[in-house]
Amino acid sequence: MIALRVIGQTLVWMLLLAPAILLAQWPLHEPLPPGYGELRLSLVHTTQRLKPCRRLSPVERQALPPNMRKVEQCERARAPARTWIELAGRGLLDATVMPKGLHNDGRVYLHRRWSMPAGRYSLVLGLRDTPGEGGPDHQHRFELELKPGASALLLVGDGTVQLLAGGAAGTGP
Amino acid sequence: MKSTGRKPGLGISLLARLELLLTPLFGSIRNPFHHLGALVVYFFWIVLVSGIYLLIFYRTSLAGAFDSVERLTHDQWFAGGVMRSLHRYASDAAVLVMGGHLLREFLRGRFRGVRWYSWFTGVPLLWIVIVFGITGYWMVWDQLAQFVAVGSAHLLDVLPVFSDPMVRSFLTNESVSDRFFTLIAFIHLIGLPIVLVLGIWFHVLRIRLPRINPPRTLMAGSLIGLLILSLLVPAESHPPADLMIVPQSLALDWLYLAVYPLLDHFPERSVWAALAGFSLLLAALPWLWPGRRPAAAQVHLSDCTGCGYCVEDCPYGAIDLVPRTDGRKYESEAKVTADLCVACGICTGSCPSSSPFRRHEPLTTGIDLPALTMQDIKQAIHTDGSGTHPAVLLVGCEHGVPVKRFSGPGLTTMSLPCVGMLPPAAIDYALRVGGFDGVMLGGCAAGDCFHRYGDRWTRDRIRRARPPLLRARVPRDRILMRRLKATEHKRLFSQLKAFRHRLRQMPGTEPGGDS
Repeated sequence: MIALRVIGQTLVWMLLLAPAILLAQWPLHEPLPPGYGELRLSLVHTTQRLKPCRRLSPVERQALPPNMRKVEQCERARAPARTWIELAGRGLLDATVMPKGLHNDGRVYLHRRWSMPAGRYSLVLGLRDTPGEGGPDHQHRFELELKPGASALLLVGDGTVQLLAGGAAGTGP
Repeated sequence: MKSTGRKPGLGISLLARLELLLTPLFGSIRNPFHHLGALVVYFFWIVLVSGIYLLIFYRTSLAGAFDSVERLTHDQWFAGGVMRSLHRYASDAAVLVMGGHLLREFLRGRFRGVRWYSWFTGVPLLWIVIVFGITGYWMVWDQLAQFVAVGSAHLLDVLPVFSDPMVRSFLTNESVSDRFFTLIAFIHLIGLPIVLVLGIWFHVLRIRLPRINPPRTLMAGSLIGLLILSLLVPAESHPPADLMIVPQSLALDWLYLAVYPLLDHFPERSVWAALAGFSLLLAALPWLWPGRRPAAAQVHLSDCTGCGYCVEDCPYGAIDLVPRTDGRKYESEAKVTADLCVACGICTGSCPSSSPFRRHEPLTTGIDLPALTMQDIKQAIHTDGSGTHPAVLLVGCEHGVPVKRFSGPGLTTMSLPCVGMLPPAAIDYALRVGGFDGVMLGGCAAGDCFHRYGDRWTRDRIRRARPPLLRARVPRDRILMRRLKATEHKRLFSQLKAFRHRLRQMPGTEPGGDS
């Protein structure tokens, strides 16, 4: 009787715990639909200052303490970065991002990801990093061959722009 | 004799029906549903022990993390593989049982009033456990870990915490560093366990005599069940992480990682808002839905000797002994903290002065409830006057079978906030003076008292194992205690009938009209 009870309790425990084991691996999750890939943008860029640095006159320098006599005086705030991405002739992104920091004196960070059908795309990246309105200061063109399940990465840094085609080789600028 | 009247609510009924399925096999005291909180703690013990074994073989480096887990899983499947599965499935069982614990306490209304503290401190525990699991999945550094790491980075980057976005650490396979694994291992193995233990301590801080460990049979049964399932369905890794691809199909652990698929459909800020909103709503429930608050117990110094039995028995720690204030010869007196008192009346049952045999009018005792005094209890202990025998006093509680549903000649019912409120002397009084042939007590199910210890203290007082003792002269065969769930009125009814039948056969039961 005791043995039966132990077996019964074990079976009940397996039944009670089964949902935990089931939910630990089912249903399957597919982050992307079949035949899709992903394009990521990682932009880390230092934009230009809102006002250019001003060279201090000898009189101004003389007025400063000896250990703080710098040549130029620069205001901290930097310009926002405006980024455009065109994919196969259609606008994918048009974003203006402020620099980090309490005084907007840090770098601009922008990270986005898009899922899209695999295929060959022409990609145009525009970046304006100077003060004021207007078009891009920098423009880059890429041919992207996005394979199913690949995660391509458009890496924008200070003076470097790269397209890393995930899963397979992509073509650079 | 018949039973009519109010039925328990739908939520309570469904819960009771589900829980009763296990009672025949486990017994009421060891019913797993009655020990959900303790089972969560026990599953974490399994996680801890299995985790220590895994740690011995785990390499905290980019190159070593995945390989070491793979070797552990396949090269020593009989030990490391089983330990890994046990580690994962015990964690999942903990979350599942924790959800059940939360739902059960909610349905039973045990989240408001003085219980707000345990409820409120339980909400952060949910998230601590979830984060614990998430960091565990990172450590494997397979495609699931990659999915979780990238999703977590996107989630964390919208918070104004990191100046350099965390997602930059997961751009390419080269951008992931060994330090990341050292950090995650520190968080998973040292940081979060300490926070979790502190969280559990806070959670049970206001609970008197908390049950931290489940009964041994439950420990053994659940461990065997987990071991068998670990052998049948061993936990395995996904392919190794590669940040330049998107995982195509993931066996996601929905108990821990359900938040990540939301990121495919909603912006990170919306996901945060939903999580914060849900947590706040959950934490605020005791105040959003406060329920009624009965008047707290009152101490009557003229009858209080400062014996401290009520202090010992109060499940809420609402009574303290303080120095005497009325100049009588006793050292101390009981003092009720009204904010902690739920008016369960267990203190009345524990007070040696709570005796209906005492003659002064109105009858007072050392401590009782303004809404249900000792005088009220004494007045309720009288037969229906029909002369029907055997006459039975059926005492129930607000959370067990509603005894007011029962009626009939020879039957007197008394509903108390908790059966623990009934002083042992009242049972004696009912049989000696009240004209009853038997007393039946029908409290909450064994091991599942709403006030946690009311049924146990009553049973111990009758068995003379806990003061105040039921006098030895009281015939125990004329007392029946049946601890049943609120839906088991038919069972109580049949047991009441059988009890009356037994009483009828006993010598000394007065002959009279039959019911």
